[in-house]
Amino acid sequence: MTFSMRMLGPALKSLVMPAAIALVLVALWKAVVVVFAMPAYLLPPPEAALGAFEKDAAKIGLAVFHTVRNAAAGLLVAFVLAILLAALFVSSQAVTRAVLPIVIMLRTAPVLAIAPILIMIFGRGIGTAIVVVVIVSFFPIMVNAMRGFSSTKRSALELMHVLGAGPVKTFVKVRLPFALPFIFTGLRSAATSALLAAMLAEWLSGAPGLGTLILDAASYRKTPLLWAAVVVSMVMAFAVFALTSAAERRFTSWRT
Amino acid sequence: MSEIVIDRVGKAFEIDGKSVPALVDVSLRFEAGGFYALIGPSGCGKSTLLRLIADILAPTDGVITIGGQPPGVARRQHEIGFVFQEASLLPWRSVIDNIELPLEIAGGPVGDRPRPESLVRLVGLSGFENAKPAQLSGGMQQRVSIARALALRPKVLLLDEPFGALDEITRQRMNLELLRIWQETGTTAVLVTHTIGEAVFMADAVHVLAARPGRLVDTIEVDLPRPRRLALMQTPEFNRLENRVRAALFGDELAETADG
Repeated sequence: MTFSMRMLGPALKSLVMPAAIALVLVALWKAVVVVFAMPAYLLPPPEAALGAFEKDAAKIGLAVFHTVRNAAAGLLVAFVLAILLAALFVSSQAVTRAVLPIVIMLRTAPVLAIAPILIMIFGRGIGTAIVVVVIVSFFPIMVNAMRGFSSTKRSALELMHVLGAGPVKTFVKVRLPFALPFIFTGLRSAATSALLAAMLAEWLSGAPGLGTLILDAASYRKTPLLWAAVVVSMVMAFAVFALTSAAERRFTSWRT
Repeated sequence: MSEIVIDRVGKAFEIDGKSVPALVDVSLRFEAGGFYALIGPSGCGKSTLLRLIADILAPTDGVITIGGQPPGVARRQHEIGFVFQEASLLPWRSVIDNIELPLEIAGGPVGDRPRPESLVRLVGLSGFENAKPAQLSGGMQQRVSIARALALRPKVLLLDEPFGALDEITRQRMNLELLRIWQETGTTAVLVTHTIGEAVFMADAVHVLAARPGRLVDTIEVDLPRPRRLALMQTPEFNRLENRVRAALFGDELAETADG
């Protein structure tokens, strides 16, 4: 009881201000529409967007599902890949010299430029989406994880050595926990860009999702639907950010 | 409980492609169940020597044995306890979980090893089992790390300036407690320190090292009665031993000052 209260209290409190500001923004939106007599095809009033949200709820819901699924799957692959690579790089100089340049090349290649190739190889479905998400989001996780893994205190490593611990136990019990704050920093920026990358992949490949929905709504001049989708994507990005921050607080509470 | 023999040991480090000697030709014998102190200025290699015994570093020359075996064997058989200068506790683990860490790594049944709960009591931290390191004072953290070092009932206990960061009063208390624990466990203890009084108060013999290159210059046997009490530090015999260590540490420098 006290546990849930303590957890809920600050969470609720931290939601009050953003909600208030969101209300102010919606009011402003409405005011702009009324004062400047905006035509609905440019900027529909908020209630029209709300109406679209009600009318096309199933459509939007399905799009959100596709985008979130692709982003989550890509992020998961990126996360595992990034942690493995980072662990490999901090444990072997030779591997770092051989593999890191290739990784950096992959990262710096403009996704837009290689998109046609990706679509040819991975098709128009979830495959391309995952690859684009991985390319965009694994780098911040890997860089931060590398910093984290090499930030382990020397005395902690010496301690594990004296205790007769092998490299695996040392990694799991000492290196990984010490690196968690760094990894979460990377994960937070990767998670929001994973959403962006998933929507970008939909734009490029035409696969169903929030990105494609926005593009279609724009080209068919369904402005209320367009605005509803944009608002949903913003709320989604904020939710992802809040979720990773909460996870970080949960797993690195020892830092305070 | 294990005898430590250091036979003509040397250690050199590579710095910018050059070999720099950190320790030269050190021969020492720590008898089983004894308490020994290594003292010397910074850079004399006393911490390096301790790390050689613990198999954290490998000697360039010479041989070290713990109970007749190489340090690597003793380490893998979990016979070595090491207390670092900083408590080096894992901050996400509670007191009891930190003390249990060696047991988790050694695996297998606990056997005749002391239970973590009794170790908490031994170092006087009952009631703090579930506290996190950040909630403890420096002295309490170092007690946890001593309990952790004792968790596998080590045959040798190596202490690298364990109380260096603590204030004088806390350090005296911790030293008394450490002597009590050492006597209860019967382990062979080697203490690295830079405090003369501490070395004499704790040890059966004080080994004095000099720097550049690190080498052994003198050994002062301390035949003061045990158990040692604080009042001992006020006796002339204690002062005489302190002065002998001081003479070995400062050598000619001390004579000059006395003359001038």
